[in-house]
Amino acid sequence: MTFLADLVQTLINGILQGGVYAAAAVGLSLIFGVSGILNAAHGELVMLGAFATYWLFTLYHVDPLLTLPVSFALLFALGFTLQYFVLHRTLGRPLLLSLLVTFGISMILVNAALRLWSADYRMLRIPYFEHSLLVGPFILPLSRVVACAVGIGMVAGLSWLLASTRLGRMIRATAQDLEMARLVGVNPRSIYAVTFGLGAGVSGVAGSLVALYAPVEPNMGLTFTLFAFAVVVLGGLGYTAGVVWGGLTLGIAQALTETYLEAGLSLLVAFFLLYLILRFMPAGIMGKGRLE
Amino acid sequence: MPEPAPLLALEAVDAGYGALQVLWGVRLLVRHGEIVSLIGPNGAGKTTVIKAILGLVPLRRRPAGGAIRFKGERIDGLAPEQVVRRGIAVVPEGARVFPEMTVLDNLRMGALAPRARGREPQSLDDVFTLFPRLAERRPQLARTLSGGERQMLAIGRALMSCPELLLLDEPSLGLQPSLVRSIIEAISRINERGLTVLLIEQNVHFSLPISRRAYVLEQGRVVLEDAGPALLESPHVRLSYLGV
Ligand SMILES: Nc1ncnc2c1ncn2[C@@H]1O[C@H](COP(=O)(O)OP(=O)(O)O)[C@@H](O)[C@H]1O
Ligand SMILES: [Mg+2]
Repeated sequence: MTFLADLVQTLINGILQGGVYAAAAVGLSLIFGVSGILNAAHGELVMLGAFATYWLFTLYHVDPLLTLPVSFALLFALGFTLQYFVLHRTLGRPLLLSLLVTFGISMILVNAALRLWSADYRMLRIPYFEHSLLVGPFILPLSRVVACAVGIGMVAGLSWLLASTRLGRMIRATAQDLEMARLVGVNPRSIYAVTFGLGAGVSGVAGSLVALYAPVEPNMGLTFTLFAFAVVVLGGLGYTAGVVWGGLTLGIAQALTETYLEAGLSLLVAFFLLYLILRFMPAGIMGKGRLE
Repeated sequence: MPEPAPLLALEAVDAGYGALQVLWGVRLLVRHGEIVSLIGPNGAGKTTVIKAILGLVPLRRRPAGGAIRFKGERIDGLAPEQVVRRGIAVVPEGARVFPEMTVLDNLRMGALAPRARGREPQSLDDVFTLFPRLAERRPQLARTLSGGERQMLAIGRALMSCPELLLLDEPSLGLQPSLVRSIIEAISRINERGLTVLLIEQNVHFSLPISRRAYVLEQGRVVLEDAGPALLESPHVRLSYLGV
């Protein structure tokens, strides 16, 4: 019985973490799917979102949940600007160029964060988030439940935007046939910038969600870049909603390893899953990825 | 009274791809309300003419390779998205529908320009009246359509922008004769409602009879120009394009 209870608790932990992974990866998937840019500074956007929430709460006592839209707006602005003025020049060039440029951006962002805020680990203390929901013998920390639910909700919202709005149609059309999109009047430079802005914005919100239950520090980004990359590949490249499946898979796999093998293997688990998926299911778990 | 400016005018256009010059001094006029055909063998540069109009291919810089005017104003040098927003719509070679979008979403993509947005519901009705097949296929992904349906969708998408000039690049390529006829008939009907058309079409026995005027392009140069039906009777065209 304790074995079964342990297992269920482990799965719950994995799912709660997986929802946040999905949120933290969806921006990377969107940007890569539309612009073909592999954003090596992705995790730093998550880190900045986490700091936005941390400082707004610490300095101005803004309720953490109310910081989410602010985090989105700040990162949207940063992402839009980066794409419009800098990354724009890498479009249509080899993938390596955008990878190098975004790597440079990630170094700048990490070092700026270190200068401004030091390498300290900072933890939000939010009284009403320190509760846990108790369901029978199982423990669901409130902060993690909220983070997971908001994260999945955000992925759903982004999918809706892409599927059902004029902006979403313009983004999809640009991804499918850039030249034809221009021939119906789409300004690609703006659409790429808005897409990067959206991707950065949701990544910032993911960072804010992480800040609800985990420490915030300038170097936290790299792990998120790697996890997000694994989640996107697991879910299927170019299939935005696939990040939910990818996120849950990674979250559950890591939780299982933590419970039954050893804590501290989470990065190894991500790489091992990445290897398995690329080897055996290159279109992602659901087989809906587009391979090019 | 001075003649009004033609809707579209290519004035001695030189254009090409990098160092490769394809068009040599191409002069071409399209007046309000006309259907003008552009014919010529494969590789003559017909598609390049369309690309030059749309700003996808630059005119030669030095010495300046002519000019392209739409409603009297220069449009050469504009980006494609700026050209189309002035009221030009295109059905490109191969239709180029957005494959992973539904028929309805493809059509909506045609109505991006502010002046077309307000008329979207009316335009949709018009397109579905013209091509009832598209109405049936509304929720289907465009990549699941047949070749003929894709051409209809591309024409419908172009019409959704409420253009003043419609460019069509071989809309019947690869279609069976009955479909070629119905596509040409649709173009004729669109024109009767007042839309001006520049048509590239190899099936000259279908296209020239409905064309007010037609140009023959060979190796990047305009070699003949006449009324459409008259050109169909010319020995040169009969020999080169009809094999008789
Ligand atoms: N993207 C391109 N790059 C270089 N040359 C091209 C390109 N597209 C077409 N050409 C060349 O330009 C010439 C005219 O092509 P095109 O305008 O497509 O002819 P048409 O439409 O009359 O068949 C051909 O010799 C073709 O090889
Ligand atoms: Mg051609």
